[in-house]
Amino acid sequence: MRRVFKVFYLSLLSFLVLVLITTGILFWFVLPPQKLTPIVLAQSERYIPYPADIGEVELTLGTFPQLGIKVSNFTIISPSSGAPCDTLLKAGELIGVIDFGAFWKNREIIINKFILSESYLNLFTDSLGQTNYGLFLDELTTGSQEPSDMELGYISLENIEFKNLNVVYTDLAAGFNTSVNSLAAKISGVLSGDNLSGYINMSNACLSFEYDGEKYLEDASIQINTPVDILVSRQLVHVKDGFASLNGLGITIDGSIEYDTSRESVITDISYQLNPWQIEDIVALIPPVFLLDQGIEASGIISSTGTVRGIFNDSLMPSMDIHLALTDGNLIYEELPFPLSRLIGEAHFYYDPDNAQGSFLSISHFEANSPDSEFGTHGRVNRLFDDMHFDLVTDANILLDEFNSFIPANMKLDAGGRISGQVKTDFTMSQAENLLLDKMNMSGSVNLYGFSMIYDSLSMSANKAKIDFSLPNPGPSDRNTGFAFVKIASDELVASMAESFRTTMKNAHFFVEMSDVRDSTIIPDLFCTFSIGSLLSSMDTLEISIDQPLGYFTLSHVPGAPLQPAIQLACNSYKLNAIMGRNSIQTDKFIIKTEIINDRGQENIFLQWLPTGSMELRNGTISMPALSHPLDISAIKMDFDPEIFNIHESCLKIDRSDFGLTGVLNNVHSWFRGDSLLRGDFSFVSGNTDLVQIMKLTNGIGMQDDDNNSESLVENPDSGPYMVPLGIDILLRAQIDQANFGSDTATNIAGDVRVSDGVLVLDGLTFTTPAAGMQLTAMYRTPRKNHLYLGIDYHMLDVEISRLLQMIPDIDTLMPMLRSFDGRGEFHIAVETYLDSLYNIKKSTLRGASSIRGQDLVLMDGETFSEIARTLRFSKRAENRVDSLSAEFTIFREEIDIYPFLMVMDRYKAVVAGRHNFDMSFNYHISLVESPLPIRLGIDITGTMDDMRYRLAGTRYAEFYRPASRRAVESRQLELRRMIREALIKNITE
Amino acid sequence: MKKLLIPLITGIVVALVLVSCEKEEDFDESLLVGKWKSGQLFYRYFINGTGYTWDEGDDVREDEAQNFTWTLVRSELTHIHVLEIGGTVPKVYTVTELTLTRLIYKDEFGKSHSFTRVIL
Repeated sequence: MRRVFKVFYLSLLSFLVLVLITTGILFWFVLPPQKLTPIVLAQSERYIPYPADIGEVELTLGTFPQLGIKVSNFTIISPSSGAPCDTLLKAGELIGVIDFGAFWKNREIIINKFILSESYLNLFTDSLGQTNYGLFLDELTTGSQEPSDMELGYISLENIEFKNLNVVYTDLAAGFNTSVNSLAAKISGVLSGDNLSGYINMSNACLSFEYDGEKYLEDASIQINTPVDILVSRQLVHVKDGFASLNGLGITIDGSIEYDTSRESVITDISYQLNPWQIEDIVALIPPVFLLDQGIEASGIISSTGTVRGIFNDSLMPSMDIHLALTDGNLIYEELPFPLSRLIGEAHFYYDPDNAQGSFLSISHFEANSPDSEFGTHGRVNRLFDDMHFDLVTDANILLDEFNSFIPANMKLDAGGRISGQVKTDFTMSQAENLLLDKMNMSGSVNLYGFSMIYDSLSMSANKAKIDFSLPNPGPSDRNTGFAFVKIASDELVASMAESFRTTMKNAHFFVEMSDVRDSTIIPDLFCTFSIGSLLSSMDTLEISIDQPLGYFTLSHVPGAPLQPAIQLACNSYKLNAIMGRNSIQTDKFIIKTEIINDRGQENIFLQWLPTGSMELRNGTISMPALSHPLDISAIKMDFDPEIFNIHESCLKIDRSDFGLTGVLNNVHSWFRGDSLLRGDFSFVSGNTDLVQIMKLTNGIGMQDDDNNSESLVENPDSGPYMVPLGIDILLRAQIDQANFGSDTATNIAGDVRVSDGVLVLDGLTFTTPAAGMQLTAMYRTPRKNHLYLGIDYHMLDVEISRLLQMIPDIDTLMPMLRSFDGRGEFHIAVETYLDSLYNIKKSTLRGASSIRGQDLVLMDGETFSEIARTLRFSKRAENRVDSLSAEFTIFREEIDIYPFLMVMDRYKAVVAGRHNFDMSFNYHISLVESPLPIRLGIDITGTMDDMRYRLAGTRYAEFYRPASRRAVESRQLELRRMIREALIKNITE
Repeated sequence: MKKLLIPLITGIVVALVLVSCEKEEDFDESLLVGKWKSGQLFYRYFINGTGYTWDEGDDVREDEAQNFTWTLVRSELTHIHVLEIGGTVPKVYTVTELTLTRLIYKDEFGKSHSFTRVIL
């Protein structure tokens, strides 16, 4: 600006010098041009410090007192090393007219006309700052210091016109080169002191500007049409409704610009209005060095109005209040995979240097479109020059496929489908840079159509879904879940991971609240309610489908343990079907409500999770290979915590067995931990129970492979013997209407069944069979697979002996003579033995004691009776009946000892005793203590049934029932019998 | 009949004489204490009148042996096997030899059992 003034002054001064010289000559020497020109040229040498040449000087006399000259081919030469040429000024024609009268009378300079045509001005500054016009400046400086009676106090410029003025200004020191070519301008105004007030109409000029080797403007067309006030001393230019254009980019300006030399600042007070600018024209003005990259094609129309007020220098910016509008914009950028079109925007930019915090960019609206997407935003960006604050609302309708190329290939992420919706954001730049999501506000509602996403091996898809979200959560249900909420509704949501799992949810609705999940120092709080029309999930061999699961899921941490998760789950569902391999479960209704706490102190992952809650199941069926038949569950209702399972209701059925099980299971967690027995106390009520099936259900639970030859009972419970579960103590208070054990049937069974750490005890079980009413106490213990303990305490008070043998065939082995009797009797037996893995008796361990009583027993074998009757000469009326029988016998290993007992038959009383061996040999003695015979006889019977030998012998027990004369041996036998019987019957409960 | 009666009476008399002449021996029960073996069948007697027995031929280990109580009165050795389930099984034997290394007894049916002491 300052240099422009210098040029202007230089021209004006030269003109005035010429006019004054010419005028002086005019008054003193009225001469024609041929004489005038040399005189002027000679005189000019006094005032022009450079060599000059004048083609011709001609006086032009107008209306008096106007006086003018016409100078042609006026040239000033100022050679300078490095300058484009030696010519400083070459004026093709210069016409100047002044009002001589005004000057004479009022010392006023009125320039009626100043026309400079076809001129060339060459200003040059070398790299050392030396100029080719410096002497003019020196003259001005010197002249101003010398006293002069010709002061330029007032100059009226009525018509100043430049025609085809060409100016070149080269400043090697500053590194720029400027040229104005073909300048055509008209200036009028008044120069009063250092105040120039007038009107500039620059109809044409071509401006070029080169700085540091870079061309910023080249033959840019400039037009200016403006009134102007210039205060030269302050280098202040004031424009009123001025218009200027650069290459057709017009701007209307109102205001002032001042250069403050003391502060090296530009002081502006401008309001402007851009006429609509084509972006292509703007881009054309931008030097290539400032263009981002090649491959940008932008178009559109920009318009703007605004004000710029204040100081502009290296450290200060003026205040700006700018409205900017974009219409019909288009952008093609090779880094973008798609062109943007229909770019429309309107923004308001405000900056106040005194209140930088108050600066903002207000976006009324901004819209853009890609071939398949569109988005728009509006809002405000505050504190532009500090920590920017964004408050934006963005609407988008995006086809994700278009944006996949933005995703780095190494992320292995691919997305498809369409997202539309609105997102509101309210955050600061620092928050975004530091990902302070807890400080940021973001919310929105988006719809997904045909959405699909693949991330590595994980994929997700939704045919149609709606997602509402908000950071922070505006209405948290818990003080810890204020970080965010997400609400998802989808008609079909599918998630899968390669071939490992796949989940499909229809009509799924999720409402999720959460704390800041990024905090790794604490388990996040999460609250999720869900309502799903149907869920189908598969993983490996597991498939599960659930109808209408409805409930909630919460995640938090254990109080005082920030890294220990605590979970709550409540789910109510219908039609649950689960299949895992050959195992399956189906239910009509399934309800679970649980709290699960994690205990990281446990190594076993099962023990790490401690559940508490309740579960209810209706109309279920479980099928497993371990079950020969499906297990039907009419109902199960139970509460549970880590230690206690409390079954309030259960109604189960498997094949022919049906039972209801209620009671309490204790020490569950301790049992898994190995600290305690699993204890249970249950009521077992059944209409019909197949004992073999029930035993198979529990076979081998808790067993370790302690035998080298043992097999995994869990995998194959049908193999090997039944192994009583270890580590548990379960009491079943049984009430069974009917029970089947193989082909045997018992009814009205009542008593306790206890499974206690490898021991199965039937304790005082009473039941009824077709043969008798019975009481059974039995113990089955399985210390190892090939060493199984079986103990039976069996009491039958009114038993059919024939049915007894059917029920317990082994009795025939122990006491074969019973095969010969029929009738009812009383039978007690206690026997114990160890069995091998095939349930064979280890005979060395066999112990037993039995007592039998009978009245009116019938001998079944008529041939035997006839033989006896003939030998003993029974009466003809004698029946094959034993009047009474009372015997005890013991079993020890392979020996069955029958203690002496009295048998009454017809007119005979006999005492029978002996031994029966497991090899079916025997050694009996019968003492006939009362008979029609005059002598007492005894018979020894030895051998086997196939080789029976009789031998008469003395009566070994002749006085057996006569205590007074009883011998010591007989007393000992009776004592042993009494000991055997008393030990047997003391266990009878009724 | 007389031909039969005379030998019968003679036999009875001889029998009575023989029985009446049988002298019952006394055995020291302390000799019984210890571990006795007959084939794979073992008995162990303790001084307090208890003991246990097992048969390795049936894959029964000593720690799985079954308990009994015992008394030895003169030559009558009584084992009372007590069943876990309830009940007792008495077995009465007559000791015919009891030394530091050898034990022989028989039951009333004449079945003899012979053991040797197991010396560790």
